Amino acid sequence: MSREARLDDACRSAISPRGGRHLDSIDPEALALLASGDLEALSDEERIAVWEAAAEDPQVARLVAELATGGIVMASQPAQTQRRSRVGLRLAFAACGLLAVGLLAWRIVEPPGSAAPAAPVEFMDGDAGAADPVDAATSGSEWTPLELARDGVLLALLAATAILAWPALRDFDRPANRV
Amino acid sequence: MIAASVERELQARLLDWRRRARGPSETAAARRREPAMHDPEGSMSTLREAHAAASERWPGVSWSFERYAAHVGEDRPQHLTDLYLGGAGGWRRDGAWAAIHDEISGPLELRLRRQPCGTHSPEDLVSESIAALMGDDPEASPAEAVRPSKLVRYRGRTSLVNYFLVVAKRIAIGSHRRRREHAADMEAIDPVDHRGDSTDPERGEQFDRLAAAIRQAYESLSARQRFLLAMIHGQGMPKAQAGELVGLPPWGVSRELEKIHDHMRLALERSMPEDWDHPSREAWASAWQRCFAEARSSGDEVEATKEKSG
Repeated sequence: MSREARLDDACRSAISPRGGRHLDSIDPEALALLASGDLEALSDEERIAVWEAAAEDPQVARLVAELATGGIVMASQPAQTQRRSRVGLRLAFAACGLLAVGLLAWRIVEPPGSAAPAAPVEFMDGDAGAADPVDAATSGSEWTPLELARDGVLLALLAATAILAWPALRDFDRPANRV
Repeated sequence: MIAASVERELQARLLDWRRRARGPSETAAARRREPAMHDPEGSMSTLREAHAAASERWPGVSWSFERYAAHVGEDRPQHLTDLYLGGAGGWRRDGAWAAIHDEISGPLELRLRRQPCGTHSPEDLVSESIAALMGDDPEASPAEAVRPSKLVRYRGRTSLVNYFLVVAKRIAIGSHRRRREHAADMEAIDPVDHRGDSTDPERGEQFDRLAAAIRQAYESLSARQRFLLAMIHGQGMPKAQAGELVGLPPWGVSRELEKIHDHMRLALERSMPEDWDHPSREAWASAWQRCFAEARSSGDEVEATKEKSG
């Protein structure tokens, strides 16, 4: 017998398919709830029992797979769809938040109009009483809080972040996230 | 006045926080028990409403509120009206099984048409699942005046159609397994060993050691990890979908699989350090995949048979 065949045999005997051993003993409701992804409705013991049964018995695994792939329909919105939309919301929330913070930081660091070509700077004698153009360029052109508050893009991003925060972060510490 | 309301609010938040901190199972159990514990009147009115709605929906079924409430007990599951019908069927009330047949057969057949059913037709599976659940419950006390049917175990946590669907699928998969076992028994009579020289003296010790090491490594995985392997490698389920069944986000499944393979590899390395080299590692990995693929293809046989006969 080749080494390959021996390994195949060893693997097969390790995960020996205990077909049908659990199929009739497992609670149909626990199976239906697990297949619908509603893990919170199951106790720890029930969840582990179904996982164990499916891991040991390929028939149970097949039943779970077939039920999960379209067989089970929940009365309320399916848990899987809810989860997918929650992932999307969280991504949108994170993107808006990052953009808002980035834009705010950029506004603070970069003075307004800095993108326009800068006028040549002349250094004059301050003692002569004339205004120092360097001081004028820096002190008079920073973003004030009032100007920031009037920035439409920044406000829109902050508003979007605030609006998305609740639906995205609600149930963040739900049990399935802690598993 | 304000201080009192703030205190109430704080207490409520503290209770909520404690409940969350207790963990998933207790949280779920507490959620199921809550109405009965904290608001018995509200809970009873919910039950009365469910009973009234169910009685109106299935006028042919006669089941008193008292008996229904006793059957439901302290739990307040999501599908209380379905529990009425299931409970009435379980306790063999007049008209219950006729109502179950009318209620279940249409939607169940529709769902079974979208599912692989082996050599059974969806109509057969509907009838067989109803017949199976009409059978006597073996766990029922013999002292009961009426021997309940198996449907008495339905607790309303999922819809009645889902419950019947699981039972119907179980029947289909179970009969396929019995056919395969029968075929395997027939093959076992054949004296020819197709796998090669079974009397090879080299086989003995090394094979036993390897088999034991692999079994030990596999058993050292958690139930959740073994389930993930069985679903992804054994059933060919997409990783994201399998992750949902164990509470993993879609982006965490590959990392978890990698962790499982590393764990297995390290366990094997520890068990047989002298034999564990690069070729044996690669050979083990491909054997592992072949083994799961074999389990998957044997599950698909029935579909192929059905297609051929169809």
